Amino acid sequence: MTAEAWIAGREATRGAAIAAIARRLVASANPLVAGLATDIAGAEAAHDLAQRLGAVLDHRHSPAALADLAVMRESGWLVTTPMEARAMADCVVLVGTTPPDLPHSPPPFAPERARRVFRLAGEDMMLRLGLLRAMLAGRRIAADADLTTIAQALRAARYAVICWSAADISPLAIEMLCRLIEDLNDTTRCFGLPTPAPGNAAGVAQALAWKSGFPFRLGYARGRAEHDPWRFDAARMIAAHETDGVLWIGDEAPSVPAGMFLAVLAPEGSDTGNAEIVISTATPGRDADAILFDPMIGALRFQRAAVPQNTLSPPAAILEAIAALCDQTVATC
Amino acid sequence: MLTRISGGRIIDPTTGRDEIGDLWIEDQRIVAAPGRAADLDCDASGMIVLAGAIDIHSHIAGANVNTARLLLPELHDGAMFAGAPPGEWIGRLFAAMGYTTVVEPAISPHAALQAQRELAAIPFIDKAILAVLGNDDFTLRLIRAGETSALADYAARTLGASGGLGIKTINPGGAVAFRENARSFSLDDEVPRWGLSSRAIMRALQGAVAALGVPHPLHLHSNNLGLPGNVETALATIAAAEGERLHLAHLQFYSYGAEGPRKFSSAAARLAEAVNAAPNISVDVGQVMFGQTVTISSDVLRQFGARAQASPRKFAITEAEGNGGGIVPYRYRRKNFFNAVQWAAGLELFLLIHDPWRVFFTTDHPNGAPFTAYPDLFALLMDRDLRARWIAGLPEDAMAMTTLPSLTREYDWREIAIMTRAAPARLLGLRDRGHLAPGARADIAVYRPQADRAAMFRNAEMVFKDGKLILRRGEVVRRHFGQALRVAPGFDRAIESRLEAYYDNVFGVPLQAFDVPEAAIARKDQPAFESVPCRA
Repeated sequence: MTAEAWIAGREATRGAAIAAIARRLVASANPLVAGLATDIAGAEAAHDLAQRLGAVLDHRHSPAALADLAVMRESGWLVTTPMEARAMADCVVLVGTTPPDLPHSPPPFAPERARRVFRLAGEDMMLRLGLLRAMLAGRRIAADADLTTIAQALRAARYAVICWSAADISPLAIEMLCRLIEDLNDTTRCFGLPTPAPGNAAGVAQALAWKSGFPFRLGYARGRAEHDPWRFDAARMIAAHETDGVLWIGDEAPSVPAGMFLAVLAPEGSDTGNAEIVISTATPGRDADAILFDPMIGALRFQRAAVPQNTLSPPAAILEAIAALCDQTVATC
Repeated sequence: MLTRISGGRIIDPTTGRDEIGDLWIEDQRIVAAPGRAADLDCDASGMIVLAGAIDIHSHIAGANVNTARLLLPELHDGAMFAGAPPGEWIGRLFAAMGYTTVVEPAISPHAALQAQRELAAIPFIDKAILAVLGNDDFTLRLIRAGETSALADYAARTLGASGGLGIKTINPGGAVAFRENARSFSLDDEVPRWGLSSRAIMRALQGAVAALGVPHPLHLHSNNLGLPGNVETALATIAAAEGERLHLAHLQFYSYGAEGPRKFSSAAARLAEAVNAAPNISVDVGQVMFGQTVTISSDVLRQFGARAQASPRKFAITEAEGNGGGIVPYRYRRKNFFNAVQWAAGLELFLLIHDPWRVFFTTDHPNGAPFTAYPDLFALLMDRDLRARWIAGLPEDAMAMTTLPSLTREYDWREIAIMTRAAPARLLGLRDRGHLAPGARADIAVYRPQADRAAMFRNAEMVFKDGKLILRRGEVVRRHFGQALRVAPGFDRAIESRLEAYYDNVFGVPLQAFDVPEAAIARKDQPAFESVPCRA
């Protein structure tokens, strides 16, 4: 059996590693809790820990998640759910490399309609989307046959769905799609279906929102919740030495500059960067019961641990143990 | 642990008690005077002692509420939060006002897990959800096929899986019409491709809820919310209930005539008369108060139409299997003719509906106003002079379209206690809440009378939950977590295999993907759910 925790490359007990992390984070001037590829309980526990520490919270995949969110909260959007899209869409446009998840069979809620599926790809997506929107607005412009076909299909559709991945197209392209969708709803029905970012980013954003009012890139340095997509960008903070203590949750931990503390909570086999302390965790949903955002249903889903691969603690339990020690440490100071 | 709350005026409409006296608590329950000394004595001399308040309709959790949080980061400032505070603040601010139970009234069964998990994170209070049916394809299939008992089984299965306390329906058929490109939808409009009217869906669901013995009657968000002249819809809906129990949510939003130079007027007086004449009907008001808020509704058709009035100018509309929903920020302004009429219409309903057992105190939080406006609203109901001062500051032409300036009624303490305690407990079937008789759960609010009634209601002098003193004058004394209340009526399990096949065929996902098991929301120290019995 392998060890559960390591401090400076040496095997340690889980308790010793938890105590060491708590000590180092409490001593940090500007701690950062990042990665955040975890389940809902993990996100809630990470939030509570960050609140106690006055720390910043960011997610490994926040750029894509925030790109979608930025469009919604700057101007608004009309979206659907994956299940409604499957049941109702008679026209599906896959933008970029978004995977085709919807069957080509007729939509069960409107079985007399055929379902047509198109892909909109290629260079210079912004230009193509601009042309598409102009065509749909009735402008007479020259465009290639593919684009013309898609424009005609969207106009003729009774319930079209446009799928995209924010990791794959520019924020401006997302904005263009959302406005195009709004235009189409003057006469017919058309909705967006953004592909959620990986690492349970959608679930983590939800949990942080009900805990704090904000998604990730959330900071408690001033004692209350603040949200700033630039200031609380974990990668930027690490590069600019704006943090001195990083607790990374999940895979793909970065290597931090010399003198910066890094601890990692992650399943065995994860990339732990140049972490000083590592604690192996259960994989939520596999080794331990978990609530995760399920892209298939577009909602949170409870996933029982079917065949646990180990008896390690889930991230939430470790985070709660760290937080309990932080309280004591603060109280005795 | 024996606690005595001594020397307060105890007002308990359920038992008819209204006297200066002592109230005894042993552990979690109210007990008769035990004839021994208390471990803890809380002096309530000169104060008012009521059961903890129960809110039957406030949007405090779920995907739509959380989307509202994500939509409006710029408005999360201090404790204002633009009508969608984080869970921690919801619990604390409600409890400070003496509320100990709050119902989130609009949860899609497909998103119940998130709602229950959010509720589990709200401290201090008990909470519950109403599960939404009536725009979902499976309900419509059963109604069209006339499968009355299967519909009841389906409703029961949904309540069990989502952990709901009751069933709500929202503009029934309207969301289906919306996805088929309808722009409006009324009581007798036909749901496209179904040959069913909204009326038929409502009647079928009323029947299912009654057949299951669920204490709370069908909770209806009617058609045509917010439109001029929609009082006709509300009156027709009351008639359509045909004497069977029905709860009409946020009635203020349906109390509009189309009179006057601006074709918008209050028809609240007419509507109140109809409610007075229909003992099967209960209503909550959905009072408008002035200021910034955000509208959160599963009436996707209505919210789609409301985008043009968004302030700030943005929105999030989700079309979904079932209801979907829409989030549209909005600011009610004193100087706005329409908003002033809305404000007056809500107060007219409060003051003109005679029976405090059938009219419930809500702002449809946050649609009419955030729940943090409750203290001002209580004050307005209890003080006609205060109302007159508000009226004097509002557009005269708006007040001319209402009867409010002529109304002199003032709510007394007993009526407040009925409307916010005794009646909601009865409406929801919560037998050990909303009153102060021995055996009741010791959820208690103690208020210190003062000239500024709003201040009195904003921060109760003492609030007890499950027998423990949790807040004093708004400050936390002891952190506490309540439970989720649900009903679990029995049903014929045959519906499950039908549903499993249906989910597999239509959605390609297992039915159980949406269930809320106890393990998903349980806290370490207590069970997640408390079951409320159904009638046999």
